[in-house]
Amino acid sequence: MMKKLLSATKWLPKIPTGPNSRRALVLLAITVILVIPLIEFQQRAYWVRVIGYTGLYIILGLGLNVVVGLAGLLNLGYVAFYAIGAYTYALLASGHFDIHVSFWLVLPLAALLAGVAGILLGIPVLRMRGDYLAIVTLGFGEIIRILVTNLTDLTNGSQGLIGIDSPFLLGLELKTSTHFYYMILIFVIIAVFITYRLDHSRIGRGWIALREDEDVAQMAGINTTRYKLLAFAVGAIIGGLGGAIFAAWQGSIFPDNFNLMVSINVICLIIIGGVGSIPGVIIGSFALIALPDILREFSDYRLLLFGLLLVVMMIARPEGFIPSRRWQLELRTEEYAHVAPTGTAEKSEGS
Amino acid sequence: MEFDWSTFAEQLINGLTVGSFYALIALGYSMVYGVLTMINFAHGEIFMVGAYVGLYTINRLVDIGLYDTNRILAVGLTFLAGTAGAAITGVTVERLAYRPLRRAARLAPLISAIGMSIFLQELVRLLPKIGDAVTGITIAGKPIFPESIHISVVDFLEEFGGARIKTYPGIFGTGGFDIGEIHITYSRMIIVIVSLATMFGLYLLVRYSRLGKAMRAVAEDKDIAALMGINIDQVISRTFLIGSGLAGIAGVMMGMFYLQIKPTMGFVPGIKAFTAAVLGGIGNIPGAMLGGYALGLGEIIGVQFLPAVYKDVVSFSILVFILIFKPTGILGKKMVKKKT
Amino acid sequence: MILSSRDVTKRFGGLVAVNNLDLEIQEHVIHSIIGPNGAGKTTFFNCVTGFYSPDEGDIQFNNKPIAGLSPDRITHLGISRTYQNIRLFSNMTAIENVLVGQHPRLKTSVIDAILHTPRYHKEEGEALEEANRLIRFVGLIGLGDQLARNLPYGAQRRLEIARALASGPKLMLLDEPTAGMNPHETAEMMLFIQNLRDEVGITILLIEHDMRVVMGISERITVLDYGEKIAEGPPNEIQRDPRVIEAYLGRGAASGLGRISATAID
Repeated sequence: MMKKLLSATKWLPKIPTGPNSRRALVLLAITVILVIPLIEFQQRAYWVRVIGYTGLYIILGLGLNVVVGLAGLLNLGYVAFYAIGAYTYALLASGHFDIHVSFWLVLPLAALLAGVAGILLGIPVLRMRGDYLAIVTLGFGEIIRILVTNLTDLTNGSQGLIGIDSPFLLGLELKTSTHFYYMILIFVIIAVFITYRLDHSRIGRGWIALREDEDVAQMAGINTTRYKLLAFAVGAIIGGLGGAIFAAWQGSIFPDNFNLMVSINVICLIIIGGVGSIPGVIIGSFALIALPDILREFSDYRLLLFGLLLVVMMIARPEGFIPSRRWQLELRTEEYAHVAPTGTAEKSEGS
Repeated sequence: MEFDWSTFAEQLINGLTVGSFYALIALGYSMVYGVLTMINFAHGEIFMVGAYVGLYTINRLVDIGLYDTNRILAVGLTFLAGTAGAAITGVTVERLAYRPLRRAARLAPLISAIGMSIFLQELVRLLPKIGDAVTGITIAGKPIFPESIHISVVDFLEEFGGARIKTYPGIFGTGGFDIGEIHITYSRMIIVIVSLATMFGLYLLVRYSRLGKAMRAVAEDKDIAALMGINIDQVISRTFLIGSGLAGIAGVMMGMFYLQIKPTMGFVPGIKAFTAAVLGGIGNIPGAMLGGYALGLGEIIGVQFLPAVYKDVVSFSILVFILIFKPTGILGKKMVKKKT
Repeated sequence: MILSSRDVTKRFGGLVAVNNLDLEIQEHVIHSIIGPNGAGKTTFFNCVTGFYSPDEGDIQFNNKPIAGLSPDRITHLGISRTYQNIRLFSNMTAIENVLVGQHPRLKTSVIDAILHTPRYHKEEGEALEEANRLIRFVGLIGLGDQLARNLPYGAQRRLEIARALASGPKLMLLDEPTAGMNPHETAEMMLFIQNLRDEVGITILLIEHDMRVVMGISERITVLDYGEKIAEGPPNEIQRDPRVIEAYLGRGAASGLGRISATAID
């Protein structure tokens, strides 16, 4: 895993590429991330917010990565799960219905609801491939958004929900961006942990086999239905958790927070950052979410560049900037004919 | 309750009008899917480009007075320009974003199409701003381009794009005529007639012309068509040309009918037209027309029973339903079962 | 009797690919299905493995009906197969291919995988050992970390067999395992298949075109033509059966039939 992060830095231009300097760079970045909210400097609040927001997208990206990068199922309506998680918390912990359930109790519920939604979405699309899958999932995401906007009795429609409770941890009320910064950081670590472990297990192997050749995977004994639904569910759960955190952090949510652009953002950052790879998602998030925010003058052109970048990447480098080795192989069959993926699975003896 | 024939008939005509838009755009989707087995996500944006080019043209014609002296000619030229603009855009998109990916993994053209869709929408929206930024560049405080050029470029681009909603001049007016108790506006009549005429022309083209036969051959089996000496690239380009042109006609008509255009206008009609294409059987040209009108009528009828805000949900739900239960659509073509 | 099919029929539109096929496979034998191209052999395989559902008839495996079950269920019950055109997971290594094949025998859950419970470690360790053992067994020592698609053709065939073995089957369906092999490799494969039956105790159902192989190792042969059984019996009977000879000769030269006569004379 460390190796992967280190290899990621290979792609940063104009930096000496010896392994020692790469390691130093990664450690530096990690240290900065850990410590930034604690240092007093003028722009601190802004940076904390930006990185926190990026962190949310990393969580979403990791979730979607399971669906797209591991199982190979293109989901363009991912924002739906984010919305479900957010609205679950917002409805159960605010003045809207005057219920005030603890954040920590809502979290598993939000995860459960999102997971169920993931499975419900997965069932009808089990037999679909490629384009059609993409469109149906996109339709699903839009349907959720329209429902949320229009079932005003339940969700307060486009007025949104405000006055969402802050979580309490050991008596401390978590309401500043710094609090949520660290919460998001912890959840990022958890999400990375979960997806990494799944990738390198027999479940991950099952997903890869499913992606490679669904019929043969089935013949090998893999219950493809269960595995597809599992991928959808895991992705949805992670998305739902992200949504709940988002709602708690912002204190208010509106249907427009959950529009198609969010889904497209997440897809973009996975694809451009590197499909199927965890460092790819992280770098992709920073590149596509944090960077434009920071480069204020350019933030208006962000979408324009996204679009262009997608097209260019597909033509020049479809596997993304920091792809998982396997996707690199899949997308570039001729060039990488004699390279075996390293560090992805068990090593055999005598090689 | 007495059945209100006149209202029913008027709603029918409404449905046909809306359906005409969907049908024209759906044709583009189906034609492209037929030859490339790919959903052109950017097709809705090509429709939008047609509307914008049309608006630019008609504004210029208003400026030079042709609009007042010879309205029919002006409208005709506007259609021509909008169609040409959309057609050229479509061919360019194919050339730049899809052709290099013809042999790539299945997901790549799809993502490229999504990228193109976003890019086109933003390009139109940001056009004046880009012009402003480029011609207003200063080095050490001193501008490179003279202020006059800066201003004229921005003004020019402001005519072509921009974030604001733009308005077509009211060409059709609200006039109409009556058949008995049924009131038919000129605008609706023109839209339906122009659409049907165009589609009939397309039918003749596909059925009898050499290009039409080539298109059908490529749609049937690309490799064999190539072996028979058909220039695949050329056929695909021309398919895009025609399909995009149709969307352009729809775009101009949309502007003339609904008067307001904005950069995001392509998204929802694009999805609905796609729904129509799938409804009729994607890849199937008569199916696209059928699907377009069916969807248009369905929407108008649906709105009678549901609150209007749910109109879009109806379309999305129909889409999801068909894709799940009958992906081959009503007149279904074989669904190509490709590996992702 | 490990596998029996009764009246199995499979149609594709107007074409009847398999027509009222009755078949019985005894345990621990090597049973071959032969016939001209298009006779319905692979279609029958696909019905047994669950890829197709027979339109009529039933199939029983160890007295359990399996017609129409999903392929993964059938694999769990103890049947596995290889393919005519090798279908490995090309972007996975050889070891990974075999590990995937072990799927029906692995039990760890999502939670185990995430938390790396002791059960997970134990099972993964054993799975890896078993995968290595299978790699050695099929003769691919040292190639475990190679990408499946980089392996030479013969090695790929053997890897496919290793993957099929990994699920611990009682019945293996081999679809033209010696296609594209030279005589030396073919002879090796023949020995290997016999070994599978003798040492591992697996029943083998074989589709083959190479008559040396068929006559050399089969204990029983079923001959199909146009989806129907036209002959069945031990090799020496089949060689002399006039209907079989006619079916092959009627279809043209390259059917290996010359070899049948040669073997008979020999």
